[in-house]
Amino acid sequence: MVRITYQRRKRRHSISSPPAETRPRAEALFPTPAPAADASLSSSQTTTLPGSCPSTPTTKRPRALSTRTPGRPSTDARLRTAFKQLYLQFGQKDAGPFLCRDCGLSYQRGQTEDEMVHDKYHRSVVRGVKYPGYKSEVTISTFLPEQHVPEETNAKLSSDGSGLLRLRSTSPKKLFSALNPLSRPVGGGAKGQSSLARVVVISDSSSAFEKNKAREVLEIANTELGSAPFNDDLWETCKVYLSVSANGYVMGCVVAERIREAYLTRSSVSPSRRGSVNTADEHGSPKKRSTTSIADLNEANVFLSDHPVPSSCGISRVWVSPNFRRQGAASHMLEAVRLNFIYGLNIPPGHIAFSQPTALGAALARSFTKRDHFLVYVETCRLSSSPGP
Amino acid sequence: MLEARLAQGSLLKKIIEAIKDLVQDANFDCSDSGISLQAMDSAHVALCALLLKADSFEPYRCDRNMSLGINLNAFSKMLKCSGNDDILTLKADDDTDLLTMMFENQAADRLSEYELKLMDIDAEHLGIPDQEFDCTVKMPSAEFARIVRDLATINESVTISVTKEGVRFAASGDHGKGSVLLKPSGSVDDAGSGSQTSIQLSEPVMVSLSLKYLNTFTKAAPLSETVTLQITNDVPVLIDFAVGEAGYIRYFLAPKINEDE
Repeated sequence: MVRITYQRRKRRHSISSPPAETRPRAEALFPTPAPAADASLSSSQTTTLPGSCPSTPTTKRPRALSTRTPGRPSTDARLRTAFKQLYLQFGQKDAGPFLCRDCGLSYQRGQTEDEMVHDKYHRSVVRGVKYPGYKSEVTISTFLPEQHVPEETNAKLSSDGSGLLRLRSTSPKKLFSALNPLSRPVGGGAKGQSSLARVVVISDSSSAFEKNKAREVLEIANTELGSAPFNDDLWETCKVYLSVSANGYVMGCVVAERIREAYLTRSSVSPSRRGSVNTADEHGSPKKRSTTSIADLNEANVFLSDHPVPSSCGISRVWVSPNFRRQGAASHMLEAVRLNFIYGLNIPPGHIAFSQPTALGAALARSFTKRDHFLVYVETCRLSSSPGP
Repeated sequence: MLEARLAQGSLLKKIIEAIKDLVQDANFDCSDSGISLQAMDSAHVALCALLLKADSFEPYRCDRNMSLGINLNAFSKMLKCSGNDDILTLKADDDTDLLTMMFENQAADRLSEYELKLMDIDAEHLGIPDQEFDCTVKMPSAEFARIVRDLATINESVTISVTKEGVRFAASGDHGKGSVLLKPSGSVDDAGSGSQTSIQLSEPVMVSLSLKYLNTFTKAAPLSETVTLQITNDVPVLIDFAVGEAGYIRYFLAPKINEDE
């Protein structure tokens, strides 16, 4: 049998190629031998290939990446043939997409474009986004980060190379500095200015560089929070507050926006007091709202009172990079929002509202307002299907 | 404990060079029959199997089976501390997690000793079925290395087609194409020389392979005069370099397929 000679050309996939989980994985296996005379051999071979299909060698799989329609002339096809790498299937356990322990991204190892996407994401998650500092930046406050070791990353550093190997570090402090190669020890007043983190504000009047940097951070924050990305009209209503560590990495971000009204949370344990929590309510909407419940991560719902109260500042997103948690970054950013968001006005902590708090977000809101009940608002301005109040 | 003395220490150096580009960490399984290794690359495209029989060492002693988890990069760096003619002795105790290497030069007046920390690698041992291949090509390993290197300049995959006429390596890229045809010569005149190409064929085969992987396999070419390619359509290709008397480095490589088929 003589077949045509292939001409092949490397096809470039764009970065926006389908994610690794959805990509079909073609595997090359040895076909199980035909039922020959030596039954012992064939039985041993079938046991060594638990993942294999006994009847057919599954070398060819559906080709999702192929963009061409069938029925083209063969001459054309010969010129545009692309080759696809198959994978070995010897019954290994860790076949399939690889889940990075540190950044949580699932990707196909060996696929160049997947690895590129992962590298970029991994760097931004593990090391944080670099904030080089800008001439026009507006610094609101500085603070000394509290020296805590993030528990999430404690002893979870794994070698990215094999996935089989787990290096465990006994000293969390060492690990922390391993994750942040540029981090200097914070604290000890001798360091002075260099150990202070700062909070900067990025608003509509900021330079394009700063806005781009804010977008980069928000992209990561939105991915981690699982919330919707922002549109271009973000800057019309919002200000973004970033806290930047002493060595120039973004610790976290807060997005604050102008709102009109918010609802006080109330205890879920006493539904009989519904409506009695919030009595002073002149600006409330005439329509009676049913109790809104927002599920947080602990499945313990946050119940809202029925009547809105006026509020001028809503916190749309709060996110702190896992490496910088428990250092007071979020509290300092909220404090900056309080002082800076409306020019010349110190907003009392109790008047700041939060949108859809997660369990951690609710804890932050309680500690910031120093009350059990805080204001929650329904984020409507950028959501496509906004339920009118 | 393990104690293995290799008169030609450079052999192990070459072996590790041939593996370390494919895998980073691997378990060396030592038993009384010899040292073996099996490792798959992180993309699961290629698998490397190494066997060093006990009689390639003199003497060889392994009281009980042990698995030495080794970072190949570190191992390679330490082995490079040895001279090419040095006698190499590997030692590992049962209760320590260290591999000791001793390099002794020919004049026996210089003895260096290095210790490598072992790792705990959670690797599974895969059973690779014995496969009858449709086609077996024996060729000089230097020739194979050269063809692979040359064609890698054209594109990233090569199509190997074997017929009775010979074995043809062909690659074509955006800027052109190239092919190398090797005719089986050894079978006609001097079957005994072994340095020429020979082909055993039950059915013509054609397979496309990644040149990037083939290029890492050719790091094993200094170990062996000849390389054996065993090919069947649509199953992994076996590329076999003999090491010493009965040992080998074998690479399995998953083929590439034409997306339109």
